Amino acid sequence: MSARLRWGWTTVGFAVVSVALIGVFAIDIESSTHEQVDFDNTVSVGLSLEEQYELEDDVALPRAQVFYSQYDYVVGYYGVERFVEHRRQPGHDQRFGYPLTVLVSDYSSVDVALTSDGHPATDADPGWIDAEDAHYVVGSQATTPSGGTVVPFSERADADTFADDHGGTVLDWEEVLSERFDIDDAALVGERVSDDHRDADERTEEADTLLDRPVSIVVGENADTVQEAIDDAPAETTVVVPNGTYAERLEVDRPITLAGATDATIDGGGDGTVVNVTASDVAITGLEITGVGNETTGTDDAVAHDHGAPDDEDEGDEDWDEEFVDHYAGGNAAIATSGADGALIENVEVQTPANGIVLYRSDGAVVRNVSVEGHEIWQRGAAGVFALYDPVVIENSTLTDGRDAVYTHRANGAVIRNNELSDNRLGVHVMHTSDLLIADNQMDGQDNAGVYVMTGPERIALIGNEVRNASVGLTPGGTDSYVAENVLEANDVGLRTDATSSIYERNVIAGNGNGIESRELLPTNRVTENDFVGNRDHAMAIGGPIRIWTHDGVGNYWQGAVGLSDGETIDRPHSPTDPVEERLHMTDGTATLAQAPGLDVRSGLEGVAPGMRSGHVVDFEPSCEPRNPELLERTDWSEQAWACDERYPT
Amino acid sequence: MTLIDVRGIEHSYGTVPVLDDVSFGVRSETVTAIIGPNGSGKTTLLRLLAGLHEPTGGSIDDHTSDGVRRIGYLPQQPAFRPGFSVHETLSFYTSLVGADDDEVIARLERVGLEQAVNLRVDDLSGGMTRLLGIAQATVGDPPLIVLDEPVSGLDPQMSLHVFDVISEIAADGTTVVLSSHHLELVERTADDVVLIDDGEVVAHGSPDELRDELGVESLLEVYEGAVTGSADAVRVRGEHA
Amino acid sequence: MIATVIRRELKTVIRTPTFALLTAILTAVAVGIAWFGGGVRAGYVPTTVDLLTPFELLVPVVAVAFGYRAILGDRRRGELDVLATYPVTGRELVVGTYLGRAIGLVAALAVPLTIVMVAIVASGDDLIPVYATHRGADSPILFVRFAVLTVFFAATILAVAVAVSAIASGTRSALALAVVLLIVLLVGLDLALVYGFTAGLVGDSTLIHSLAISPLSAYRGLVLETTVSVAAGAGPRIASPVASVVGLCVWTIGSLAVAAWAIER
Repeated sequence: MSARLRWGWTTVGFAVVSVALIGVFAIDIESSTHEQVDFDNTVSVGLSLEEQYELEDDVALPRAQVFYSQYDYVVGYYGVERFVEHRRQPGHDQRFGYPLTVLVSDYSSVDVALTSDGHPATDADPGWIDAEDAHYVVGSQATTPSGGTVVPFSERADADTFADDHGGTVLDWEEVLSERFDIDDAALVGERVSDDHRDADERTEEADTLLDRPVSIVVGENADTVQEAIDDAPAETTVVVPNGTYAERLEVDRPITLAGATDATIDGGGDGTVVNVTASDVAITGLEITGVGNETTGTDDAVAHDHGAPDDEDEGDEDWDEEFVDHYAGGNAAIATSGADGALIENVEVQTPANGIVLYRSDGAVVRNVSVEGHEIWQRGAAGVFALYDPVVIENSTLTDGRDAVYTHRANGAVIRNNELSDNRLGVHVMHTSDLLIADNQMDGQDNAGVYVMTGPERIALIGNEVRNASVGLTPGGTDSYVAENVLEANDVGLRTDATSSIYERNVIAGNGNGIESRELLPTNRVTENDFVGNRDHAMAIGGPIRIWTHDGVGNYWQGAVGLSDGETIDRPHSPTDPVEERLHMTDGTATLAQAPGLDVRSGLEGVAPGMRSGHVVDFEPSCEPRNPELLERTDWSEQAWACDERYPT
Repeated sequence: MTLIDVRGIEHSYGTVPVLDDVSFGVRSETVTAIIGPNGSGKTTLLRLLAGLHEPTGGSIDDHTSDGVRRIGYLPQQPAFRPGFSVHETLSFYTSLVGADDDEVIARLERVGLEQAVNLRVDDLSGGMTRLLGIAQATVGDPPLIVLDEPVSGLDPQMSLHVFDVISEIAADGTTVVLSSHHLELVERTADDVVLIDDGEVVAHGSPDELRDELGVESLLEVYEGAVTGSADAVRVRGEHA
Repeated sequence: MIATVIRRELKTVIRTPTFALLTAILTAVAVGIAWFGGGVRAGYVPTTVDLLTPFELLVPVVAVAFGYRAILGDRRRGELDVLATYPVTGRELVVGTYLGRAIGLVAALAVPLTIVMVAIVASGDDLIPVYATHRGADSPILFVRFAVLTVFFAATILAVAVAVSAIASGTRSALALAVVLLIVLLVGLDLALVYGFTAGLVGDSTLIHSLAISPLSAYRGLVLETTVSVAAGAGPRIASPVASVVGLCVWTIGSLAVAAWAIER
């Protein structure tokens, strides 16, 4: 090859390479568009499982699917407004990046009407449209189960028509993004805790008035059997049960108070449910109940069957859970109530191989100072207290040796407080129950979990509980939960955060195997002001993008975190999932290694583009000293919670 | 025919004068030797001849024809890129003048290095390095080559060989200007001798002329007679350059 | 002519074990950081973020090591004098030397960058299969951008190092100059910018362009602007790409001009 030719080829090659290299910068990566995906395959938020079940078949809620620049999964929102508010939260962009593409339901493609609840009902599934091209009706009568909702249309005329029919104004995407929407979030749940307590106080005070009823009949004096006394007693009076053992199974179908003396026992003889309550405003107090049948699941005389079909007032698939309820609530119990609104069960001692107390559709029932001792082998037992369908108050009770000490099923708004729950499988088992308050309970030795929230409910408050020696201390689930001021000690896992958009603050997590196990796919939790002491691993994250556990400049106390400090926060980020930093509180010398420039640079930069980095937790403002010294005093670990500027105590 | 006319050149490094009114001519296709004590300005003079510096005064009239390379140059202590073979080293220089591989071999044969073609330059003896340097100096067939101390530090036999090679090169029609302290070989090989001392030309002519002029038997005696000062005092003039 | 000089430099680069060692170290560091930082499993942009700061420090060191004795060696051996008698200009010599070394430096960078990129391609995230996924704004193109910018940056520093090698008279002074150069590049210029900014010498409106004065800031700004911010979204502009590119080019061409001047002096 001649030199000239070689030069020619070299020049051509150089030119090609140059063009390719410049081309790399010319490609527009941001404008890549995304095809819609099946909404069921998105990581979705905004609707609990219960709400989903209850929707009529033709209801099609407005939805959005969002493709974020730094989040591998497609996020699905029930309600465009939820996306708008979600995006406004601090740290949103840091965790998800920015939305590359937003698709929203298009109601121009279908005929839409509103149900009596205000949910949009359509003749077909609405299609999808790019959010920027849609017109939005804001402030109309349209709702989702969470409240008012924005309805998108591809055609402006359809939006106008809808607004004419159902109210509201038509806005474009930019305007919708700057609108404010009220969505009950975890912070509100936290603020509402004292209200919930006050409401519960009112309920219990009202129930207390049942104890002031005049005595009409004393068993043994005016009646031969307890059942006879109940049947004879006028409404709103008290039947007194003197000391002794009564081998009877009772049916209380009138609003009376059944009051045992100091040592009165009802013995059901080991067959079936001992006391059936089917009237409102019944009070049962001061009894010991034994001889409960050992059927833990529904049989012919199951409690649910006694009450016929579920009431038909509500629309929708109200009975989707009928089989389930037959199965689980149909077992034997010491006391089973049905439709017993405002009932009070107090100072009752129960020994049961099956359920203790079953509260079925008993709005405002109160269980107080009750002790239930279940089957010593929990696999053969059932619930200590089982609440279905209506809010109840369960307080100051001791529930041991059951499968679930407290089991709630669609008991929205129930309050469970100041109880001692020990040696059950689960302390509190939450199914399809939103707006639950679980406060100030002492839980010890649960085989599985202290509190296990299943089926994705919303707005559950877990506050002030102490959970020890469980497989998992707390497993909050669903969205918008508020988990605060709990003490989680000596569990295999202290806190398993399945719940999203939730607040986890001021908890003490000490001496567990894993302090927090972060399993949620959406990194939307706020985790601050918690104290992590003496856990083998303070935190671990499974899947999902990086978690930033700092909010408004406030982080958590991590025993062992190192760095310079002003006495309050440490100036260097702490990552409890980092292979070196996770051992800071355990292994001598890690403090030096962790501050090596190579590692330091890395942890400092992780915040720049963190979204796609999975399985990591970072706290940018770790606290120097424990945040909750008083709670910490209740554990064996307060001595170990050294401040960042102290030496390891020897 | 005179190839180079050196006319009254002066040179100084800063305020230190090195050469002062040096004039002589270099005849075409001859060997001209510059001799003189250490520090007398020989290296500076050669570098000026090679065009590496501009003299601060006077002029060098150059009558060489325009070729691909005008002047070849051998520095006092030639060295080459470590790790390169003799062949690679020379082929780098030949390709700078657009010559091909045959030229490399030809140059090596001319200086007697054809056996060493695959040796690494790091492994060459001082003499072989010098020969490679001379081969390099002849690359591109410059009409004039300037050799700074081509035999310093070599054993007598190698020195002899080097001067033989130089004679052959001159015989092939190349003008050679060299400096050396090896007066016997200079006397045998050089057509002209320029004796400089303290930056000035103190004698110029063929060895025969110089001997006759002073009526002595050897160039060494010429040198001893012409160079002023005692052998005890070491001069420092310009040698640091 | 230049090709001949380039070939000679390439041979030197290949035969110098130090350069292979530097490549190995750079590879070990880059792969190590990308792996232990979790960037490899997270994607291209997180890896870029992980590597950016280490590269800001390491690439100049490697580039200076490649260049700070390039021309000095020829000068000390007397080959510069010899070459002056050949039909090759000082400019050609500088450009050839620079390009030869640059090709070696590119190779030294290509090894770790390629390995890291292959590792990212090979190791995806453990995603839960029931959910719909997409790659977000992450793309191999972003990593290629990072690689190209890194090479550009390294080439700039190499040019400055070659200038040092042409100015220096001895190995020791070259080493001292190289250290001074590194300090100026790695710390000095950015500190000067900080001083200029806080003292008001650099106004708010001109900072984004002034950044280009420091090759380190120009490089950082270019990477952040063309790769990281693509994934991170909007905010104040990070850098002016044009000014940064011009800045790096000026450093490169200016340095080579200084080197050529030093040779022909």
